[in-house]
Amino acid sequence: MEIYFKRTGGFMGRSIMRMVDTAVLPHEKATALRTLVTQADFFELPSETAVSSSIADQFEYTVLIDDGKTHRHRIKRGDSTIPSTLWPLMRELTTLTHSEYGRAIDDIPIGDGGGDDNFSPAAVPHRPPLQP
Amino acid sequence: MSHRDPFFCIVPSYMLENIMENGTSEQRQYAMNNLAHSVAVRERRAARPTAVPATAVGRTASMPSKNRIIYSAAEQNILPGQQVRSEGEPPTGDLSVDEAYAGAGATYDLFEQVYDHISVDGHGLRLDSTVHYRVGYDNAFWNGRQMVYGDGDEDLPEGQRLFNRFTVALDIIGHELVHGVTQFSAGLVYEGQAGALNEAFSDIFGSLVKQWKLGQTAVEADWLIGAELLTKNVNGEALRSLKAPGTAYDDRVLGKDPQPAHMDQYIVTTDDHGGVHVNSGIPNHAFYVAAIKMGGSAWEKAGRIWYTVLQSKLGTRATFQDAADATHQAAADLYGTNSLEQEAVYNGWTAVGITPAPTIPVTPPPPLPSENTAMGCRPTLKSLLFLLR
Ligand SMILES: [Zn+2]
Repeated sequence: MEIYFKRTGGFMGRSIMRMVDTAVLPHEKATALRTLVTQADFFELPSETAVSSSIADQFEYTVLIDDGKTHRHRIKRGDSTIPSTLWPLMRELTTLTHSEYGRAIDDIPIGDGGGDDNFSPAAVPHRPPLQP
Repeated sequence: MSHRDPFFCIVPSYMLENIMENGTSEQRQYAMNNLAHSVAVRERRAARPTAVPATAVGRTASMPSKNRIIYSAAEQNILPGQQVRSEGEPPTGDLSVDEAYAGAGATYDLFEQVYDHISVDGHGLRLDSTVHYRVGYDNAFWNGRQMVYGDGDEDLPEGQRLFNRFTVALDIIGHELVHGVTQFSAGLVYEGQAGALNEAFSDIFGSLVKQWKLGQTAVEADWLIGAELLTKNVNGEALRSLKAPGTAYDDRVLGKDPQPAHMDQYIVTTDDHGGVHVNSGIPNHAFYVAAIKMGGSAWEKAGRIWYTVLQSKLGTRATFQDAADATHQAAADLYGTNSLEQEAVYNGWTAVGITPAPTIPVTPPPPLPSENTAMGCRPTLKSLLFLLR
């Protein structure tokens, strides 16, 4: 599973852009991460939510996850629109990207489904995982 | 969407937040689309004194007073959360709660005692803060109605922590509250140069709260934002420096402080609403240079000039140039054309590569009654204009 993570804004205004590949993670870390993706119901989340411009200093996140099989989905969120079920995944990704497992990238790839990343795997032909 | 847009929204935002947690995906989408609108409506309602019963904010129309409530989110994300301390109650022993309470109080006091400005809206709006937001939340924000603070990296082993709790620094609390002051005055949009000015006003007055509380002159102050926030695992002294933008930290994990101190290094980016937290280094440094050149306490003269401009001299989409021109003119209005203060403002902006436009000449204002200034209740320009009507 490949996870692309971008976080911008926040009080500090420091941008993070990294990818994490579960293939290079220690087994228990990879398993824990997959569990968090499942618990967040990540592939079923709406792709984008309006980021309120009246909220100052909030983080904004863009995350794309490709499970290498049937799911590839990208979401964009502000702090105020992250449900509590998604937060543990966001927190783990922040921590992982600060560790040696985070790999620098230039941009977050687009998700399947063009403008609307909310696609059903059955309806959309599978696209192969991204090459690193 | 600007928070000034007129519209009507009937679903309360706590309900929208609930829907986002528990609704179907369609319901969640609807809720998310409407939450921003709801926040804006709450602001508008809160901004109208008649819309908020006096008893609900603990004051009467004739006597606005400090009214703080601290809530705990108990590591969840529901705002405002459980009330844990209200105005006049003794310390709780919970550091975050008590720091949020004291910091909001110090910020309120600076604005009231120095600028005659009561609370964030100028009319005594209650100050709500929520602490213990989520688990491992490395941030603080102003959501249009209240302050919200995370506990930093409390969920990580000590050796891996980068951030302490966000209430630890008085200037961070001041920064968040001043976002409210800006929202109810200049209403600077959170994008591009206007957004960077919004950020700079928060950093400037956040730092002034600390300087005022510590009784420091401009020369004595550290001009740092978040000096206590970074743990010993980080090679850095703070998050930002108004004195020397770009030098606050240089760390293996966090990287280097990216703030420019001059227009030559202005960062063009689509991230963070056009780099509002990085390009704010430019107006931040202009204020620092002006304040140092004026000497004395930065909140007295430089602070008064910037306060006056924030209240009534800027459009919502103001540029750095607009801010330079407005502060230059306000310095002339308050202290006289070619006064030391006006020259200091000019020097501040030219130091960052911006030349303020020539000002309309004014004669220095007559000295104010000494008993008023001695009591620290010097009338503001706005209140004088009001009296003249
Ligand atoms: Zn801010």
